[in-house]
Amino acid sequence: METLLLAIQNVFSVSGLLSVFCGTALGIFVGAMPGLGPSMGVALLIPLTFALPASISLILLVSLYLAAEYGGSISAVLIGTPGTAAATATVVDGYPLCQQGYPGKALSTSLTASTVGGVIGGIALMAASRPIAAFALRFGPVEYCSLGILGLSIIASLSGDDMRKGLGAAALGLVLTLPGVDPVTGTTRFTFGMYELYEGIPFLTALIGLFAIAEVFFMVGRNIGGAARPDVSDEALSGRELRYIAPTCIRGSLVGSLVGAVPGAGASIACWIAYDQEKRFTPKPGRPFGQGELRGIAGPEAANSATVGGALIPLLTLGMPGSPTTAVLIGALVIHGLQPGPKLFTEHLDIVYSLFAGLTLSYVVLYLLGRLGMRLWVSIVAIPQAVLAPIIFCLSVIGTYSVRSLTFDIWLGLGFGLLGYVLKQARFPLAPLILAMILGPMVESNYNRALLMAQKSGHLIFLQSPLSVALLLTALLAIIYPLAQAWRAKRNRSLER
Amino acid sequence: MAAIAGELPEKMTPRPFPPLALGRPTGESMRYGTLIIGIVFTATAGVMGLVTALEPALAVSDMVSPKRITYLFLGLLGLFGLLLIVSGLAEAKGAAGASGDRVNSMRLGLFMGMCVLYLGGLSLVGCFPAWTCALLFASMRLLRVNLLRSACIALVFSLTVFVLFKYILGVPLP
Repeated sequence: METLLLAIQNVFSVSGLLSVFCGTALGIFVGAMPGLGPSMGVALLIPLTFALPASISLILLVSLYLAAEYGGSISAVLIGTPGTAAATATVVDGYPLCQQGYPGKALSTSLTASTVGGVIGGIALMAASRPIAAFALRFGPVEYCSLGILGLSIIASLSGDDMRKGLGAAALGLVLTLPGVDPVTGTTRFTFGMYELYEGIPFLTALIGLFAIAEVFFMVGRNIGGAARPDVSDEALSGRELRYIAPTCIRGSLVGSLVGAVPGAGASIACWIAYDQEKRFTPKPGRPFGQGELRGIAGPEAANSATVGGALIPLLTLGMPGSPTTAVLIGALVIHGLQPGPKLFTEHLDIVYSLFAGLTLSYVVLYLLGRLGMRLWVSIVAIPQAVLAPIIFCLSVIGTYSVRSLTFDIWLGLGFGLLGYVLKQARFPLAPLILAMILGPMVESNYNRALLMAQKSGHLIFLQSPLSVALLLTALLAIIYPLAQAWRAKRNRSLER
Repeated sequence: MAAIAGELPEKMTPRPFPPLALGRPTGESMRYGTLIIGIVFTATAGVMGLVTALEPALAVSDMVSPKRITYLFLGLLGLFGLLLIVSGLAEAKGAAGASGDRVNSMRLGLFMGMCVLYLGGLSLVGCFPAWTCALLFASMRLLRVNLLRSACIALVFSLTVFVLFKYILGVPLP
C-alpha cells in the first residue's frame, strides 16, 4: 500500500505530470504523421530519457505508445492514410465518414473508443500481471528457454503475409545477436577485431536504424508532401451515438487486450479482428460498413488502444515483448538498469506501480488533449514530410550516438537503416527481426544454463519439465498450424479449378 | 517575331516551356542557391566565431582548431556544391519528362549520399551543429521545401538540438 501511494505521489509530481502530458502530446503527433509510428517515436525519445529517473522515463514512453495508437486514426480519417499500421482498419469507415462531411464525428468516435480501449487494456494489465509474474517466478532456465522458442515461433508465424519471410526475418534477427563475447566461454565471436562489437550490436542503435532511418529513406524515396489542412469542427458524440458504440468499444477492447498479449500479434492484427467482429455483431448497421459506420471506427480503435495494456503483460511479467514497441521499451528498461521479468515485481514494485498510475493518468490526458486540441492535431497531417524526414534523420543520428558516444554506432545505425529499407522493399516484416534480437540472447543464455544444469541428461532436460514440454509443443503447433492452413487453402483452390 | 512564328511549320512553332516537375527553373534555383550559400556560410562563421569567443566558458577547445574549421568549411562547400549540381540535374530531368519514380529514386540516392557525407563529416571533423545545419538545409532544398523555411528550420533546429543534448542532457556531441 505504501508503495502504491509512493507511486501515485511520483506520478502527480511536476516531472510525472509533465512526462504524461509531453508523452501523450508527442504520441498523438507521432501517430498522426503517416510513416512515423509508436516504435519509432519511443526509439527516438529514449536518448532524451537518459537524464530522467527510470519511473518517469517509463511513464513518458508508455504515454507516447498509448497516444500514438490513437494518433494513427487522425490521418486515417482525414486523408485516408493510416498514421500507424494499427489504424489500417479505421480507414475503411473513418475516411468515408470524413468525405461525407463528418470528420469531427469520426475523430470523436475514434477518441472515445481509444480511451475506452486504453482503460480496459490497462485494467487487464493491472489484473493479470501480478498473478502471471508470481507464477513466472517458478520458471527456471529450461522453461525460459522454451518460452523464448515459443515466442520466436509465434512471432514468425503471425507477422506478415508470408510465414517464410517472417521466419527469415527472425533468423536474421538471431544472427544479429551473435556478435560479441560468448556468455559461457567468454570468447569473442563475429567481432572482426572491432572492440566496438565486444558488447554485441547495441539494440537501440539497431532499432533506430530499422524503424527511424529506414522510414526516412522511404519518405524521401516516394513523392512526399503534406496534405491540405482539413477543416474540422469538434463534433461530440450524442448520447444515442455513445450508447450505440459502447458495446463495440467493450468488445474491441477485449479483443485488443487478448491479441496484444500474444507476442508478435499486435495492434495491426487486433484492429482487423475487431472490425470483422463488429460486422458480425451488427446485422443492421446505421450506415453500411465501409461507408462511414461508427462501429467500424470504434471497434478497431478500441482494439488497437487495448493492445498497449495487453502487450505490456508479457513484457513486464516474462520479459518477453508482445509487439515491436514493447521490444523498444525493453531497450529503455535495460538502459535504466531494470531487467524486465517477474523479478521486476519483487525488486522494483515502485516502478511497476508508477507505470500503472502513469498509464491510468495518460488515459485522462489523452482524452482531454484529444478533445481540446482536435484542431491542432488535425493540422499535423499538413506538415510536409519533406521537412520531417531530414529532422528525423538528425534525431536518429543523435539517438544512435548518445547510447555509447561512439561514432561507430552512427555508421551502424545507417547500416541498419539501409537493411530496414531493403527488407521493407522486399516485404519482409521487421517485427520478427526486432523481437528475435530480444529473444535470441534470452534463449541462448537460458539454453546454456539449462545444459549446465542437465549434466548427463543433456537435451532431455527440456522434456523433463511438463511446462517446458507444453511450451515446446505449442511452439511446434504455432509453426505447423499456419502451414497446414496454407496447404488446405491451396488444395481448395486447386479443387475449385 | 510573331510573323516568323506564324510562318514556321506546326512542329517548329515555339511552345510555352512545360511545367517543371520539380519546382523552380534551374537558373532561379541556382541564383537562390548561391545566395543561400552566402547566408548560411556567414551564419555558420558567426556561430563558429561565437563559439570561439565563448570557448573557455564552453570548454570545446578541440572543436574549433583552425584545421578543423578549414575541413568544416571545405565539407560544407562540397555539400552545397553537390546540392546545387543535384538540384539542377533533378530539375533538368523533371523538365525533360523523366518518370516520377525515376526522379524519386534519384532523389533518394542523393539524399543517401548526403547522409554519408554528413556522417563522414561528423566522424572526421566533428562540429555537430554546422554539419546538421548543412544537411538539413541541403536535404530540405532537395525535397523542394521553400528556401527561407529550409534555412530557418535548419539553423534553429540544429542549434536548439545541439544546446539541448550537449548542455542540458549531457550527451557529448562532437
